[in-house]
Amino acid sequence: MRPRFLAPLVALAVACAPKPSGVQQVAGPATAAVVTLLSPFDAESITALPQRVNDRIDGLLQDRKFSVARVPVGDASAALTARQTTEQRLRWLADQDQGEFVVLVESTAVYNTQIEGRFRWSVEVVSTIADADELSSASSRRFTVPVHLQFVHEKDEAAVRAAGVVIERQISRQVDQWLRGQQAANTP
Amino acid sequence: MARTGRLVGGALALLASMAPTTALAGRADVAGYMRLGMRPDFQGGSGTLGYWNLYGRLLNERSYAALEFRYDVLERQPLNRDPWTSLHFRVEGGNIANAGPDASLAGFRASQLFARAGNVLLPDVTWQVGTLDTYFGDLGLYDFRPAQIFFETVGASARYEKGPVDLLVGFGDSGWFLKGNNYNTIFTPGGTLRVRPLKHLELGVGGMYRFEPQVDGNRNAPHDTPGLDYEDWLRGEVIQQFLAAQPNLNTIEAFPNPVATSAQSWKAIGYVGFGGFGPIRWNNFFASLERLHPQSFTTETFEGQDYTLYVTSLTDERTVLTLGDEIQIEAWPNHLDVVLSGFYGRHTDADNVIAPSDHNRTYMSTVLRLQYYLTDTVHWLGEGSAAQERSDNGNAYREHADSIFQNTAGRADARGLEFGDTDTRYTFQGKTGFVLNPLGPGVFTRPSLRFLYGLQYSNQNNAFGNSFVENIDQYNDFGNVERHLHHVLSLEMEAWF
Repeated sequence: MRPRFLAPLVALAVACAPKPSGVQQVAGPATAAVVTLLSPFDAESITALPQRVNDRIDGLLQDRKFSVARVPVGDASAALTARQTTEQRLRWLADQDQGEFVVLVESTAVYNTQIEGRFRWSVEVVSTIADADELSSASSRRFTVPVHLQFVHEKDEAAVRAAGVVIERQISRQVDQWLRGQQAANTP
Repeated sequence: MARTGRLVGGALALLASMAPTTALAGRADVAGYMRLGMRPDFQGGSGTLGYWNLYGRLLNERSYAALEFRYDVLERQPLNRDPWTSLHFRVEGGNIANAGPDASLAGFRASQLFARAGNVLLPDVTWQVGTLDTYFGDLGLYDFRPAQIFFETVGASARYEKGPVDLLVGFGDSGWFLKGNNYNTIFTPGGTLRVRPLKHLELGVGGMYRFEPQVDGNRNAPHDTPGLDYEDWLRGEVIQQFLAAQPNLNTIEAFPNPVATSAQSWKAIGYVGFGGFGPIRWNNFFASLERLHPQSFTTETFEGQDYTLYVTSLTDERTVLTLGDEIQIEAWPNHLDVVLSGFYGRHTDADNVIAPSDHNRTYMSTVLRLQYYLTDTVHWLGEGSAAQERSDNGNAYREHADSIFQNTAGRADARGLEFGDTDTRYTFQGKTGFVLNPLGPGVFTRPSLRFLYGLQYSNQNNAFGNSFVENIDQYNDFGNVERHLHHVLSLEMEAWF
């Protein structure tokens, strides 16, 4: 649908673009039970991540041949709010018996400052993946993504949405590393 | 005594009931901003396409960097209301090695230092002590922030945020910023209120008032030298005229002493934001009306001696009105974004009706930017702008290299107060090129690596920063250049982090 005069430019840009490498795939059919949540400040209970970020996380898992079984945060809000450590939430998720693997993404977004016309937020993420039957295999990654929102009305959900690309990149890398390690461990 | 004790006990109990229990120690963090451009200019310019951001910030701004250090003394914790506090310190400036004439850190300033604390004393209130700069937002294509208050103020503020309401109240002192080494207290109270009555609509108002009291005996406090004539002052001839008018005096001791007075100024701001429906991502409209704070004094030299003239009442009627709007449109989802911005400014100085100046002018411009996504990370950018600036007190711009002969009614006038040969400057700019955005689509997604070409047409001769010799006397060894088109190439980067 792009205008014809842009076709050579698009072709050049696509041809020159580096291709992603090192994408691992889970062995055999496998389902990942996934819960992704945002813990607000000055509030009583957790909320779900924005849909656009959830789509990114689902997509990266599907790229690695996982079937994704979403655990809706709305239904589990009370349980996940009551459990505030990663270990407790991971155990709860494994107990839901939704898949052979569990993926838990916890996030917070805090406003920092106004800088050069933008509103700077820090999005902190802890992503964890584990074999549901063997939680000792869990791999956790903690990272912080600075984002700079343009509008004063944009709050924590917008911040997490703006961090989506980096969140996807980080979790992709984490899942690949974890899968590679799991496959190595299972190789005689 | 017993009643007092009960009152104190009650107050302590109230505070204790509002005080949260525990909090965790935190961490350090660095935020920042940087932009740097390499702009070869084969026409003799000094690195910008035009004079200033009125034609769009792109290619008209120079290199700049800012670093803000933050330390969370008590980290904010999710899902609770523990107290939290953070310390902030920012340095910023434009001296970057190889991208400007000077790489000295002396070109950087400690622009912000403040402490913030929340969940202390009152719920949903953030306290801030230190510098107080705050704004409703930014016109991204211009990098203008009309709806900004407390830029020059150090003091204390409290911000209440709950649901659709955001209320800020603060007060402080603007004396150091406005008067520097000639410091005098300028008490500055103010505040802002922002509400969101509908999901897709926001409204905001605010303002601040600056009051500089009369302090007899303090030479830095506002004073007026009696009997100053504006034109004499403008020409730097107050002392000369005073002595000429009193030929029997051969001493300056008869020159009137300054009279103490007070000074005041203010700023009112407004904001309307809407969007989040259809292709409109968001539209920001900002307005501000400001009465500038009067100058304190100027210095005049006559026959080798310096004289101080106190000019509060000659500079206390300078007003600035600015209106700015910016709309972001998702014109073709995932392919093309459009941002359209407009800006209007009117500066008036009721004290000065005789000479062109920055305080007597009207300007307006519009900037349109298109960003087309060839791929997620490779974009094409196109931007155009049109601007008009008009001096309200006569000629202020030079259309031609020999305009000095035309500054008043077509005749050379050595005593004229005008400059150049026209009172209006028109500027048109076009910019295009490629942008690499590693984080994906978005006109304002950063970091950006940009490879751009810019073209400017202005009716003003050589309307860009340059080192041309402008006089036309016989000793000008370099000659004059008449040029209205200006081209610039730019390799540049910009990032927030």
